Amino acid sequence: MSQTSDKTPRSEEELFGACLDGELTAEEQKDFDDRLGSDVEFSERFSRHRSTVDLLRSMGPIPAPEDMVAHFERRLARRVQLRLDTTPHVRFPLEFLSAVLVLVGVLYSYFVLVPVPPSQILEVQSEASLRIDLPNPVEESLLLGLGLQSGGRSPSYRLYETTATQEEIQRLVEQLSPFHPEVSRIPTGSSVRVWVTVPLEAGSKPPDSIQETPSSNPTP
Amino acid sequence: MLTNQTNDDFLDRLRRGDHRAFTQLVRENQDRVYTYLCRMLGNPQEAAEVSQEVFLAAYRFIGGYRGEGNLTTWLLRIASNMYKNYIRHNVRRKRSKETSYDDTYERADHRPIGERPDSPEALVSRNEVESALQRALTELPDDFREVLVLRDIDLMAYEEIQALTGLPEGTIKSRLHRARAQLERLLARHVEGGKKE
Repeated sequence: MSQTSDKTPRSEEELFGACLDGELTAEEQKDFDDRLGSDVEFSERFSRHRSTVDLLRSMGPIPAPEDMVAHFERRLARRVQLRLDTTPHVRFPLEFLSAVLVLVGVLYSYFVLVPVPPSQILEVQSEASLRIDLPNPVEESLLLGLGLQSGGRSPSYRLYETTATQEEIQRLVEQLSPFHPEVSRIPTGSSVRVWVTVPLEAGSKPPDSIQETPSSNPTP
Repeated sequence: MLTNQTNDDFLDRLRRGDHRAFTQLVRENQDRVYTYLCRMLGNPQEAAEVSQEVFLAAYRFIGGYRGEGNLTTWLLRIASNMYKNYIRHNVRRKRSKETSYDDTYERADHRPIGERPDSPEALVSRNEVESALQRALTELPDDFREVLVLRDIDLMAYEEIQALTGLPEGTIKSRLHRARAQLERLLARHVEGGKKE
């Protein structure tokens, strides 16, 4: 062990290190040199220590691989490209488009592919119109009494029509109920156009479309 | 040199993500970063891989560089953290410690810069000593090895090491002295082992 000028004890390792770093005070350096001259083992230990440090200091830098810069540039370019590919404002339209396609698919399936439950007497032509095909002949006075107006006549059926509110339609359907099965669907809307077809003979097939009724029929 | 380039213009270019500025940063610091990692990992191939990660991390986090210390010290601090993460997560560490340095170092011809003996015999001897030294270095605890690499191989000033490691100067010196003593013992053992073989 050795003593510094301020009497702080130093280990031999610290003393060697301080000597190699040139951090010994003049007094410490003199003591150190004196000991090197008088203590052979101390001198050998210091010599070995200094050789190790000299060896380390002679190692020097190792040149990086020649392709270090080029490799970095390639990775940087890939990184930038990747970031562009995943930037939200670029990704958004794809997600949005996917959502729209799914929505369209769902709506198409619901309105086009899924069949509407069949009804013998009721066909919904649109949300604001209602067509009722009665299966059997009915007295015209009865229909006129329900507020329906004659819309025309053909060799096989008669047509009646009216415009009604939801309440009026409910009432009309109830009063027609003895002549037809339950209505499965009534269109919503504050005002709905209603057509009723009545066959002239039992079992007559109602027309596919009101537009295709004979010329005597005032097509709505 | 880079320390002269840590001016506002260069830093602005880096912060804007200017690729040419980063290429310049890599070109001027690659040897020091690579050397540090080579000495810490003891494996040139792994050192090259981690060096790439260091520079990519610098690209990502340049916004966090507040101008304290120079850019090289900042890069070496990243390298130090990357090294620790790499060691923590890499199971190949043991293998690289045992075998890869000797194999890959000489095959890749990554000879140290500086004066070199000319004769083949001297070169072989030098390479043997350096290999033994690298093996001894690799056996040191990480904390000891780091201060040795920074102080005695990279020849950094204590202030720079302090900025890099965040350790007080007294702790750095204490570790350094103990590391040198331990390295000396390890080196003696490796040299003795080499002679017996």
